[in-house]
Amino acid sequence: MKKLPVSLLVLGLVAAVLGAGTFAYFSDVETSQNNVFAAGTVDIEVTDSSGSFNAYNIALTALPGETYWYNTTVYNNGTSTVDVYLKLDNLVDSGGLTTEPELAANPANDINDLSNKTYVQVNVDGTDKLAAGTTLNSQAGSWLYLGSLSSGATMHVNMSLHIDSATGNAYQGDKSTFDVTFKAFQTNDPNAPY
Amino acid sequence: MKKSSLLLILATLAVLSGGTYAYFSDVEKSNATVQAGVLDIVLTDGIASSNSAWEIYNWLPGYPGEIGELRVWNVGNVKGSSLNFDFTMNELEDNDGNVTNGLVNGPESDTAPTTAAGMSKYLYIQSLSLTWFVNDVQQLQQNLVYNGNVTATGASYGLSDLNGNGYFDLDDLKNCGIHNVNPPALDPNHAYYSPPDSYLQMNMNVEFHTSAGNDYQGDITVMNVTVTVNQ
Repeated sequence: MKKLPVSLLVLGLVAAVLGAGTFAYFSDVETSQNNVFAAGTVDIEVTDSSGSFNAYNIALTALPGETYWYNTTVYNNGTSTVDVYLKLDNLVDSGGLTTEPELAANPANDINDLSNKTYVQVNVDGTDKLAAGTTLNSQAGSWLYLGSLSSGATMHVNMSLHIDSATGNAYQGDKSTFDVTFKAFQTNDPNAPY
Repeated sequence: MKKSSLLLILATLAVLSGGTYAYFSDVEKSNATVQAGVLDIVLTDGIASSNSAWEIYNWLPGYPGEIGELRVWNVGNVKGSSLNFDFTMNELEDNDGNVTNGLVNGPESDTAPTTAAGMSKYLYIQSLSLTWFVNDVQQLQQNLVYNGNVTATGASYGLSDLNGNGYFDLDDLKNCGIHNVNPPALDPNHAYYSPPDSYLQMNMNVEFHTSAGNDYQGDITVMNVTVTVNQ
């Protein structure tokens, strides 16, 4: 008879364990689905007459008094309206080729600031954004605002480079290299140049 | 006559005459019924459906926030003891923020063009509140998050900047949930949008943080909100 309480206890424990899986308090569940936060895109594509966007290369070809036009197309491939800027930077003047006429005009060959004799002009769809008379040197490093461009739209950006007609032989064969950068900013970006 | 025969006769008479007795009596019956309570909630937003309570496309960092709301209606006959809000975030890589035309990597300006991982960390919660209405009258409003910071009330629900980026966002919300919320009062009509209304409303204003960067151009975060009421 002393074993009976122990047996009952064991039975009770077994029943409790077996019964544990069957507890099922009431509850109810509802779900709100498909709450969407979708980012737009800021994406421009630039092409020049070659169909791509290559470095401007007027080395060895530029002559005083002549104007060289380089035409590009900026396409807004993103989903948002953007502000488009242009910058000419990483400007480096160098002596380039040394020629006999150059040495005659500047025997030390120490006049190499071609960017101070080169003028830049930029227009967008026929409207001046950078008027004639601005030197490459003074414009280099500054963002130039080209305008607002809506999604799917295109702007035609024409830039001219013009070496001052008064530039003498001291600049023969000299070279200026620089990068041309187009950048699109989202319209509310406080970090946009202006 | 034998004694046993006499007893049998008396017994027979007693049985036969029994139907003619008519003592007064009365009967009362208690019809005991055990009926289970009904724990039933309905989720809506400003309209009947609760889906897409937050829905914004072509969103850029720093743009105005997306404001949405959910309403929890207690249309059963048992209020329940607690309510839980649980959140899932599905971060999807895409090139234009449009799921319907397929998910495509990119665009070219996307600096992480094959993944949207981490996007919900930049979906900053400007404000998050719970408001209880009883018979169309506001009873209590609790602000859990304000200006991206968890309030003391929010902290009491276990909200915190778990990812440590300096503000409370959807990634934190996914990992914290909002638990042990007092369920809304039973709706007097046991039906939603049938005045007078009693419900619990969650309001949340989500912004795209200005530090998001180009990694998330065209990417998408899809949020699901599950509300559970417990007895």
